[in-house]
Amino acid sequence: MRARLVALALAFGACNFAPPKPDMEPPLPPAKPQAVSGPAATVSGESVLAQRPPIPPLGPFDAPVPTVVTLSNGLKLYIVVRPSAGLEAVGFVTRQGAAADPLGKEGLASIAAAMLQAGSAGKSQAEVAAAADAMGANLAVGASTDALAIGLSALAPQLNAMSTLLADVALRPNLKLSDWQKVQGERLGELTAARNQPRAAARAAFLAALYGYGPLGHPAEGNIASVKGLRLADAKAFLASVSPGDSALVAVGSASTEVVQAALEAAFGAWKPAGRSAIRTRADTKPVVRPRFVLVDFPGKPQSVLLVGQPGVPRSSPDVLPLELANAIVGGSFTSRLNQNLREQHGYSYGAGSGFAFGRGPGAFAARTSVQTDVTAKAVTEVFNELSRLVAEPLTADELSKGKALLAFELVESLQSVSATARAVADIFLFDLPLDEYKTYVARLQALTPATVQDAVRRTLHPTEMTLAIAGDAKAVLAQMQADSALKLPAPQLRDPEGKLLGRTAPSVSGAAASGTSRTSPHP
Amino acid sequence: MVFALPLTLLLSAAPQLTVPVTHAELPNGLKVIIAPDRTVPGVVINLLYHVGSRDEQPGRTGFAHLFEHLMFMGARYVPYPQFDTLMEAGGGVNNAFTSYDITDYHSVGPSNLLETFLWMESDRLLTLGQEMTQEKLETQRKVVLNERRQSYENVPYGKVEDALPPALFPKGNPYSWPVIGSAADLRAATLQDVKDFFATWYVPSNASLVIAGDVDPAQALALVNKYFAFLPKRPLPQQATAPTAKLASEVRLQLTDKVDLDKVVIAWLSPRSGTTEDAACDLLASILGRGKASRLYQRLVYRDQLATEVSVQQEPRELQSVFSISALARPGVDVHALEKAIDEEVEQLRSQQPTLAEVEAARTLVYTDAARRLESLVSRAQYLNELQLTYGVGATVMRDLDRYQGLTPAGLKDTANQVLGVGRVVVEVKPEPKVANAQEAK
Repeated sequence: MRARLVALALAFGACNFAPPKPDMEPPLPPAKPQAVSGPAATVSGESVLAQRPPIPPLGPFDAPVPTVVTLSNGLKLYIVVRPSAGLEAVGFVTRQGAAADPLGKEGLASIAAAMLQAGSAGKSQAEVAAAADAMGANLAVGASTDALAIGLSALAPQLNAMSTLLADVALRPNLKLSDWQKVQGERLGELTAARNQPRAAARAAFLAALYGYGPLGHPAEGNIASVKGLRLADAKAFLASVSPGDSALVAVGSASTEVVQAALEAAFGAWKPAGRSAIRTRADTKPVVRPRFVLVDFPGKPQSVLLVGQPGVPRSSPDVLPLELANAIVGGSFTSRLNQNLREQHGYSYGAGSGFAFGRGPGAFAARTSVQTDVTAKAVTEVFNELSRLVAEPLTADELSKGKALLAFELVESLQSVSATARAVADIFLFDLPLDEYKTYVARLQALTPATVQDAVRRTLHPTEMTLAIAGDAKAVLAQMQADSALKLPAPQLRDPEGKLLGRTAPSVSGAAASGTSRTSPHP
Repeated sequence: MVFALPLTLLLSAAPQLTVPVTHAELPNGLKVIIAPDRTVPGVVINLLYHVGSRDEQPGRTGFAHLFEHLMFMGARYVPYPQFDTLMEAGGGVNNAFTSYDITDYHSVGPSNLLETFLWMESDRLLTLGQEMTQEKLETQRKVVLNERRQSYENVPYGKVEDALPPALFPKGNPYSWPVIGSAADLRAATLQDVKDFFATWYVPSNASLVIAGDVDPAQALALVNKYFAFLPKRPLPQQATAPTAKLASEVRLQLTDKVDLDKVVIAWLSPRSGTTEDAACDLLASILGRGKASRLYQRLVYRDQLATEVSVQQEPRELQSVFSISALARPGVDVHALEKAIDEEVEQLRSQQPTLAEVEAARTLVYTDAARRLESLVSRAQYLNELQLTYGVGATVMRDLDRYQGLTPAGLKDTANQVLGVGRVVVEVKPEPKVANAQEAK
């Protein structure tokens, strides 16, 4: 592959849907004939090539506005009809995710979601999975920071069968002890494997540094100790708190509104809330003094995984759009400043990028890259330089125009498949967005100016307070950091691959006081 | 894209997935497919060059992929870095990948960029070789070495990717080295290598162009003519071939890595892409390892708690494919326990027919996957180009899917017996011995 600029996932996974959208003014300057360099044109076609093609105006993109109907039990159903799709996606989402995991029970929402795939409505785990296969459906169940989500998609004639299966999985899990033990064992295996992955470790250490090991500061999947301590009763309690008032259904595809409503009314209409609905998100989130530098040791690794960032803003913030635009320029595209700097100019990396994870809480911003171990300190300096420049200088007119064009087309792309569209529609519910969020996206984008973008950046991003997380060879990394006098970072906190604080400390970096590490919140 | 679904959807009846296209071939041999879709204000062009890692010279493994990177380093009229900057200024993005058999490039963006995309592709196809420099080569050599570090060396069990090809294929076979190549060979590549490779492989007759999206076919074809018809006709290069490789017996590799869990990968040589037997292997892989109802998931992950995860795939290639099973152990489970359970499940598939329900579900998943591949412009265009490469000009989606139609439980059992036999490669990966206080010891 040439490059992979993966959107920032962090623990906020499914909620990180940040589409840009299209309409797309013609952003290029008028075609300038380019001077022919090199040998004189020897082929008649070169006169064609010497002329830069025009870029004609583009029509608007009519992004969908979902229709919302309410089932007889009050459950909201968001529908997008796309007659030519041939496929149908149906989904269930509830506003209850890993941010609600109690202290010491990290991973609860995620493992409760996994239990939804471990047998339902009297059918065994294998029978449920086989039922989905028989429809040609991919059944996906998971929990992110802010949500638990179940999704299915298949050819359109499977709508009724999918609706029934969706309701079985969402509402009638068997929750048997024998299945719990299997699910818990599988999760412990996955968590053990994740400890060997520098990228997962850097992410875990980064999140824990940002928020402390609390509601927002742990990987949604939990950690080995917390998952060992979980019981089936915990999962039952979590799932019992899911209710129609906190939940919504989404359907995208060929079927008409009436047909979709009938199918999902039949499947979900009788569902009654078991108890009081409660969104137990991050009321208990305490501000922490963030360490500036955290390090996870992977002796002998050829690369260092770097994350540099801080908390972001909630998805509901008016700054989301200007921040997305700024991100497109600093790290959200191939020609972004970070990628050009670290990959193309310096050759430190296969790629560098950045992203926001927006959620109901502040989410996070991070720049990230993997660099050769022997250039780690230099790469850290370049990342901080680019982030500082983003705050110090407004975007140029060309950058603003490019960012708008890129985000506009990203919206088109993100709404192509029925499944991706269903996820985008689910975000409208999860984050209380206007129904015409995507329809108005381009107009809102076009209204941005360098000043409005820079204002949002300055309100939000503070490079001198950002946290650096590194997963790599600690000895090699520290030697470089100590030798680099320009890097004004305190000694790192050492963390384990799950993000938990280790007892030991490392020697300080470049003579800077280690005070930044001393006031962090305690960790379980 | 048009879906014509039977009124009553019989179990496993194939949906009629039809993509209306226009075909053309220019006098210089460039093959063209135009697939209009006015429902999305976007356009993709997918340009497939029929050259992959199998066409590399000895001592130059990884070169086809390194070359892929160099295609973005600028040509005469769109000098570096304008391929990317002009495209992204207009809202377009691009990417590319290299496999054993092909190198595939795409650009996607708002439909008003169609002409810009074609102009940039034409420029680099005509002039890239003359504009290549040592400096450009050095820039991308570093990037690719870092790609190798990031995607293989810094990934747990990544060394399996290096070890498998030479164990599966005999020395000299063009599939006997990995697409990413060796770091030493990547360091050895010269500017002259780049120019020669370009001159040989990057010619119109060895390329196939798909345009999909919001275009008028006649106008799009006129633009293709404007930008590609003047490119001179050049000799059609011949891809590397090899006698069909066979593994007479088991080859066992034992590796260690900086990991906590054992892992086993078992691989067999299997029938080439586009054949009915390849489709049969695809269904076998699905029955064994796709999703949480599959046999290996049920046995290894759910029931016996031996594995953390398991995956099975039939990876189709032009000369010969590879069928592989990989399983990551649970903590404390030995690789041999894992292997024994896998062997029992494979043996079961060889000795008894799968159930009709398993076969029908696997087939339905194939059909639905195909429909999903047609959803986005990028994957649709790539699929159309692959179909043409595999089945020839005019190949339809149904040509691909029809291979699955006649497959029966009895036939799948036969295929399992033919393919999943004693001749195979088993790679065991175990944790490196732990040095006490390893962090300080380094």
